[in-house]
Amino acid sequence: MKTRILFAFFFLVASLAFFAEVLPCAPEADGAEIVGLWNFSDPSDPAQDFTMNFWPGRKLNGKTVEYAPGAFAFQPCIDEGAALKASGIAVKSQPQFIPDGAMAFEIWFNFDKGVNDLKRNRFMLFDKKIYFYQSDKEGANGGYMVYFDRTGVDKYKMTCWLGFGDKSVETGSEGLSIPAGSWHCAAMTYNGHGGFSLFLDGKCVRHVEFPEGHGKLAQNNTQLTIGDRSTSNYTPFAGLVTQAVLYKGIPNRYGMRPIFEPFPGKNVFYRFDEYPGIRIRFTNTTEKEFTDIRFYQDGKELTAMHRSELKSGKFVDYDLAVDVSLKAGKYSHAFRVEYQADGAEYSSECTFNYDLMARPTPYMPMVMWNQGDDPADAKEVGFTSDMVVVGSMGRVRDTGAPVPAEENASYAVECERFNRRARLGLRNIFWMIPGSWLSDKLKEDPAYARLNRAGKPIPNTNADVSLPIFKKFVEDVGRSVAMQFGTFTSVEGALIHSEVRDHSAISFRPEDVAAAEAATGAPIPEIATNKNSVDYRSIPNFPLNRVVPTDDPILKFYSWWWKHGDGWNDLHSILSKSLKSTGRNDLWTFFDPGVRSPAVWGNGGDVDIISQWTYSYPDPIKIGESTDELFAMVEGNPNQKVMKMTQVIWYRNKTAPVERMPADESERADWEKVVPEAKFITIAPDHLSIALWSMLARPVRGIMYHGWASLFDRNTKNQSAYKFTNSETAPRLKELAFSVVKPLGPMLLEVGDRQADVAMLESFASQIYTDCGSWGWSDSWEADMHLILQWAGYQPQIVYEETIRKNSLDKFRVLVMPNCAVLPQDIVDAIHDFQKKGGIVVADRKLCPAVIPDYVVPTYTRRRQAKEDKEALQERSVELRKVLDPYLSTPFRTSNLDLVGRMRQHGTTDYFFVMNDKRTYGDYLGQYHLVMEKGLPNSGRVSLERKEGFVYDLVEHTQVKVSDATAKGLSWNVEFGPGEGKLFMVTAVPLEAVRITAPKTATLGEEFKFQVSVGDKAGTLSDAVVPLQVTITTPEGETEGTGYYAAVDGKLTVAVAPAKNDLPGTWTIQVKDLAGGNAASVEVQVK
Amino acid sequence: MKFTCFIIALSAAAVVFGASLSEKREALLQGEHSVSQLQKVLASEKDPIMRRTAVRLLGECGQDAVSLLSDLVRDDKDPLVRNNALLVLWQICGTDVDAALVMDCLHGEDSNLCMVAASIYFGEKPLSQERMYLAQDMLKTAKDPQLRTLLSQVTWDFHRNVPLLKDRPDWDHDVVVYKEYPLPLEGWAFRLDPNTNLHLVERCYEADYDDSTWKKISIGKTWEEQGYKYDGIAWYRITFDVPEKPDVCNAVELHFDSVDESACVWLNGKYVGEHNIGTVGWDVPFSLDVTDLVRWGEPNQITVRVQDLAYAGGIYRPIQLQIMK
Repeated sequence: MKTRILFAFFFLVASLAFFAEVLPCAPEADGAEIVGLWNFSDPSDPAQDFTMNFWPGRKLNGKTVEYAPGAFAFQPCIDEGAALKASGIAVKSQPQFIPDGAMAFEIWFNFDKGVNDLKRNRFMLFDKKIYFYQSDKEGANGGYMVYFDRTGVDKYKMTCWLGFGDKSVETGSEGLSIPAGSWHCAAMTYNGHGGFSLFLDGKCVRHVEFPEGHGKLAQNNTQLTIGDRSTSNYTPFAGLVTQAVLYKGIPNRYGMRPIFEPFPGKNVFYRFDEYPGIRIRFTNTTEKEFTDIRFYQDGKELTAMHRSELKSGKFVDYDLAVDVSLKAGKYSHAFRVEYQADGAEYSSECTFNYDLMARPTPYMPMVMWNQGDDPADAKEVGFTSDMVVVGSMGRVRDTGAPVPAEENASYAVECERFNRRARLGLRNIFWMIPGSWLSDKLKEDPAYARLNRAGKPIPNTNADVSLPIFKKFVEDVGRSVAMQFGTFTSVEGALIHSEVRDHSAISFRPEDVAAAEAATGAPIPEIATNKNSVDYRSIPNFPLNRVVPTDDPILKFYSWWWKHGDGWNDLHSILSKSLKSTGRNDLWTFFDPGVRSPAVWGNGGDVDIISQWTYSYPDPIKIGESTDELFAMVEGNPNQKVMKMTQVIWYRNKTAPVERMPADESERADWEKVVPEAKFITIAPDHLSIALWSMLARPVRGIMYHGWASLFDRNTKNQSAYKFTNSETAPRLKELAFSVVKPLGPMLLEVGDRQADVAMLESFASQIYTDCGSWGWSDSWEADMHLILQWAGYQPQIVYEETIRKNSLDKFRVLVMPNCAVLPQDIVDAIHDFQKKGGIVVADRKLCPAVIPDYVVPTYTRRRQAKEDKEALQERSVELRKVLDPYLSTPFRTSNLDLVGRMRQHGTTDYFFVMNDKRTYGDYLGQYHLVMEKGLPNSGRVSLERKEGFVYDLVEHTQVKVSDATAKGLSWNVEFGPGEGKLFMVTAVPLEAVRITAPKTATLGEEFKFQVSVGDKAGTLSDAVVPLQVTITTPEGETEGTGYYAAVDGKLTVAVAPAKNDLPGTWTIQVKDLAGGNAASVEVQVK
Repeated sequence: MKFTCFIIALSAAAVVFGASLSEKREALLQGEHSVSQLQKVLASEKDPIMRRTAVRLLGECGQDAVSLLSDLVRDDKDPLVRNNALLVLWQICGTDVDAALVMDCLHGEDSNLCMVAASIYFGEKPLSQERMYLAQDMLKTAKDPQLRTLLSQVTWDFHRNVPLLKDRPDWDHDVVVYKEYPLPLEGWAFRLDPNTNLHLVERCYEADYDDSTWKKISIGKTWEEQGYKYDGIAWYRITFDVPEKPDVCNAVELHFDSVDESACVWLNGKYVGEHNIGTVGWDVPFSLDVTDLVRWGEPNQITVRVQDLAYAGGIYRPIQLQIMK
């Protein structure tokens, strides 16, 4: 034992000693040969120039370079434009600057504190290559360069380009935190035969083994430049550099020790995690061969892992599963490897620390869409999930096949993003968009571009993603992500693509023309060039009554194009499927915006969820329209569900135009004084609240928000166009998350919708022929009609023409037809049939003349005066209600228009949502009269058509006293705060008792179950979905299973799995029903 | 099926008891309908939905209902009954609706009725000279935007429908002017078109049309200010230089600070679009998308047809070519 040299330990200590003080006293060859040393502590001392080629005191642009004490200062304050000129230390090219074999370059630097204010983001450390891309120019594919790209405040990616003669290769780190104003050491090493590493402060942040064929670096005649690019398009370092060292060979501290460590991956597991595996990898990164390799876990030898040899450059993996049946907590395993090299004995050790988390209780996803890197804050606000970018797109494209995980720093960083979130109790969504990524690379290439009829690329469009290369690519990316991250159980969903159809266009590539003809049986109609619409007025002999044939060729083409023709929907389907290729069928994939399209089924392909974002101004309940459109869209795909997003950001020019801002600063709102240039500002809190209730009033599977930088004051300066302008919004969201979404979410996921009496047709034919439609924006006449209906106290269901074909109109009493100017014959027939059966048609002046309306709502063009506009629309609500009242009874009524209701249903139980939409102009931005952003208190009376029932306020968790129960129905008084919403549950059976049935005893390590029932005193179960709060307490405190649940039909069964390392004793189960407030508890003796 | 049973039950109830409006209507919808039956309903009922239902049901009576429907169009107090009656007449008679009735509707004050009548009267193709003249005449005074659209469609063969970038439903970004190039104020070719047919007889919107014999005029001031005491149609043409395509260009628009009153625009011989909201449009700025029509780095030819019906007229404010980002 004494003879053993703790090889790894030696280098660890050496490394720590070397990097503990980043300002070097002297260069440390450490097994390599120094071929260049540039120390700037005293530029007048030529002895410090080992190459004798150092040009001290060089004048740059006529100015003498300034020297900070002990370091060379680059031009930190210079940003861009003419002032951005050569600033580096240039050294004449010499062949030894590109060693034939192994080499290393090491540099000490210190970012200036002003760096975060610069607009430019690239900062060169050293350059012996010039070209940060592959080029055919002579000498371009030789040498090396390393630079930083800033990705956030004090956050960077370190990138290296290497030239191999016939090609240039890029590789780089993931995000690194490098605080400005402190010294750091960066280094690159290349072993001369494919092994490359980047280091920051001695820690490897990127290691890659290039494939066979990557030998020595190619020579070039480029000067070596420290702190800038060697020629034009200068990208000077912003800060200080004190020393740079070029080595022939690699100093021992940079890689001559074997690597024994956990393979990057998951280190946070859920109890009973389906993927409990970890991998420990031992890599022989030395030049020597190892023999007699023995592994130990927690002191016990793993004899099955014994290896007789491990050659240089090879590795061996040890795979094991952690025990996920233990109780939640922090755990660790110690590993050790012993081996021999050159007759001496060595050993290395590592540990694997991991967290075991309680399994999540049921919840409604509340997703922060692309929040950045503040998961703790996201969790604090109440979000359940946020997004993490994945994809390995570059590697997939390079290899042309799915790629597994790499053992390198960037993969480790990616894994840690998931681990960090899981550790916080946050779930994750993959953020992918590979189709967009490849499209951006290829859209300018005529071989992949969308072409016009003349065969020329259509500008400003994405690539023709219906081509096979895109399908293959997204499938490979999906498979790669599944392989690399499929075991991360905390990942629950994936954004497939977003906003892709905005830049799509009808393409006339021969393949597209043939596909269209094969699908529709006819060539692409001559008039079809604009993807959104054609102008029926320019069609000769267009029918006078604006009724087109059921199989109208133009509609047939557009229907096909929006379903399949531009390629995107099929791409979504392929990616969605490939993501689940390793068995993660629980992942929900989603696409947004799901209804930024005409009213035709198919948007999103076969993703599991479609979503849509909505800017809530000027009237927040308008979010209901696009939500209802999503439900109309998924009617065409029985497996697809709906989530909904509220934008945290508001467009400034739509709410508080900068050009109308008072010139006198004293007259401005507070936020205008701070960020007068803001383009995107924060949603007002009352709008946020009303929008939230509007989303929850519909059977969505989750809710989302976007615009993190407008939610929190991050002092992001130039980093984001989104500005934080309202400090009350985030607290309001948090309050709603914890008082509404979390406790009621599990229940809401189980409650269905109520069959509507009123349908609102969004006509595909009219949209295509007359260029109308909501397109998900909820700011069109269709959306205003929907508002009129909501304020009138109706609960409209949006139907498409396809919905009518599939389901007829038989379930509805009223059909509302805004902007339905052109209709297919079969739809006209269906409407005639509907009218014959007593259905009432409400329309506007644009209605197709073949349909005779029963009531015409006067069209209203908004005047961009929020109060006046709302009043005008509400006048129409009153008129409509007056006309329809004799014919249409409604399941609920409210005593004033600003109390907006909506109902959902489960069995005989009604779920009655009421939102207070009473608003006025506030002092946030009301002065512009574009939005009434300030909620007002409201009170009134609400009533239900049902004659009997027991009413519960699910936010207050208490029974409501029904003040009037007559033959007409139930009614009661309500009081609302500004922007407030309420949810009343009305049951046939009173909720008088909660009962728990549990075993008296249980055993550690064995699962037991308890049942909860909710009903009346006599034991009759309610058929409601009742929200419950369950608390399970062990002698150590609350444990797994504590959370919110839904008792469906008054019943709930919960499985409890005491771990073998849990404390025995008395376990208490407490259950509270969040409707009537009844509670019960039982004790279980756990042995 | 469920719905049908519900209706039958309601019908029976309506007969037996003093029925509600809803029940009465359900009863009305049942069975065969006669003109006299529906006429009674129209005479006795005050509820608008009931009466409109009766009008719709008149359509089932075919030619027998024409006389009653015509009376309703002329005399009923409910505008929607009048409107629906004309629609039902159209369904029954096609374009052979009584011409006098149609003319009355066209010249009446009820804009809805006028719109339906216009759809019938001007929907015929090819349109007779007489109807074309009437449409042109009506276009001069029509205020209702929907009617103006229809009349423009009838009288004008040029159509292009390219929304501005800011109005595109697939664009969720701020749109701002990135660069702006003013068109020349001086040197425009100018010609009056009192017969309103230069586009037909000379195709004077073509890019290579020879306008060398036309008068010269400036924009930025009315044509009255430059000696033309004239109300009607006139044409402007000029060729101007367009620079190389800029680095950023999401769209290109021609922005008119104002034209008194309406304008139709061609660029390089291709129709760009129009600004035509009636006389109220005289001081309303407007933009037209020319992203696909502009030719970068070379001379571009623009033609503007201006219609002025009263007071001063012409391109009296500047025009800019705007690059949007």
